Amino acid sequence: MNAWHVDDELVDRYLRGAVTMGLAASVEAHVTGCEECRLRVGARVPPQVAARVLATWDDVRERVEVPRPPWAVRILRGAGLGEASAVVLGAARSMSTAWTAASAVVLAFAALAVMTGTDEGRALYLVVAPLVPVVGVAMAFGPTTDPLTEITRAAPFPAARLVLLRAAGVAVTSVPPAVVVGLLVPGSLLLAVGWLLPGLAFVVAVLAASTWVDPRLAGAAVCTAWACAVGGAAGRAEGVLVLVGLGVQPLYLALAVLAALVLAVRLGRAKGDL
Amino acid sequence: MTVVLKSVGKRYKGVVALADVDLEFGRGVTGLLGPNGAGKTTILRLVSTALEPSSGTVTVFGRDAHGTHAERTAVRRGLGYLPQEVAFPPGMTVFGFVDYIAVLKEWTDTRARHAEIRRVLDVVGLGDLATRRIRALSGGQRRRAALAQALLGDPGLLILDEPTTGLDPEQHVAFRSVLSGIAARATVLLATHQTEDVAALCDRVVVLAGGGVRFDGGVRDLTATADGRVWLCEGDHPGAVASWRTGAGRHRRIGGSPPPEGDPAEPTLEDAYLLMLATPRKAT
Repeated sequence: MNAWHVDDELVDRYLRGAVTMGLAASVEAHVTGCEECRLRVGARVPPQVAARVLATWDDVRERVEVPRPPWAVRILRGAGLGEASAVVLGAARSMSTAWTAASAVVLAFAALAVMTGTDEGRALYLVVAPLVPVVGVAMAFGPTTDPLTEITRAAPFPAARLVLLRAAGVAVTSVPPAVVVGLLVPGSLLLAVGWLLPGLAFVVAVLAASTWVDPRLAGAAVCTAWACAVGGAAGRAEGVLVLVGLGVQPLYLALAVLAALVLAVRLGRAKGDL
Repeated sequence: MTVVLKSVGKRYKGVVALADVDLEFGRGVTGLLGPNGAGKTTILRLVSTALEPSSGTVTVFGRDAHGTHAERTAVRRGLGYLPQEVAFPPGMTVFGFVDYIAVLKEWTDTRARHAEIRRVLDVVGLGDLATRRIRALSGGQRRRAALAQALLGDPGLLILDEPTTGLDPEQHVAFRSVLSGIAARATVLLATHQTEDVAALCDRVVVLAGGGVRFDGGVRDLTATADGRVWLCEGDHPGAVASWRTGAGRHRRIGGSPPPEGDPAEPTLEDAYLLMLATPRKAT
């Protein structure tokens, strides 16, 4: 049984810092095990000091107990993204195995087409390139890819923001490699960049269609339609570049705007949850 | 009332999951009991706003849970939802998982969010496992991690679908302790197959079957429906709703005619539940 306790006079001296280091250590060791003295000291601590101690303790817990953010979140934060967006995108990154694999396969196919250096190769590249982001987006949404769909649907985070963040994440990771592959095709800058607007229009169309049907079904429909269009153009005298020429680019812009409007309207309703 | 369902129906591809249901839920724990396909999960998904009704209205906190974007968002801000099955993204830590959901629940202030995450992880007993990857956790620990996200922000409405799946007896007790504390200040909807959880926690029980409500009342009232219909007897006799040999060697007989030399037994909630499901619904 410990007969020694911290009396009020000692508490006051301790709080003023008017005790030796040894005595201060004795007080601290004692209050750790004696609730009565701990309460006595706590009651005499000035409010501003108590607030500072609590804040310090909170800092300590924050440093000790909060794990380091995942590398994806750290990179996104370093790139200037807000914390909430970085956490959401970082989580999408951890869900991204499916769309990364799908995009890699499509991209490899495009590279193979370019390496042939023939008209058929160009046609194949044009088929594949706009579909890289389409496949990525199609695989990035829905219960099969996002295991937390049910919880996400019941959370107040805006669905539109979530969709745009994830689609942007897909685009940033999948489009640049496809452009680089296109630049390897000798002779035609149009081929390398002309598919970007169609690709954007197709992605938004898939997102809009996904508010009704499975994103993979919507992606498959877009892929099939585009492959048919390229196949048809390849058999004509103008060649496949007619599909990405300056004359038809406004059509893709119009499709993108229309699909974006549909998406905005659908996301504004309960039925529009992806 | 926190939650009001008025003439709510739900069909999945022509199959009726819920038929014209009227229910109201207020503060305290309400247990939803019923066999698979009875409509328990459908009700919880409708109330959570994750699913739209085919007909009728769902009102939560006085707002249409499937109305305008603003109404839905307001409802979502006040609820915590634990779905029946939660699959976790690969590679996530316990803290990272709850952090992600906290962001989706609009906890934008980092310090406050982290403090809240630490609080809910402490509540479910995972404070020491915050940095552990979820794939390294046991089934019960994963279930508790999923429960932790539902507790974020101390919601006024807590929707729990089979929350005790995979929990061991000790965790079961800890869960009941947590939930009974929350029930004093919130509305809790608890769908479960575990009648002992309902008996231990709930003020009120709703028995669902075939997409409709078979019973709605106090736990004691449901248990009382089995008074005089449960016996302990020697040997198995045909005609019972359920009968099994107990550890003491006698048979527990539920329903049917009184067995010869049978002793009346104190009914449990499970007895009453089994009897209710075995009783054909009265034509209306």
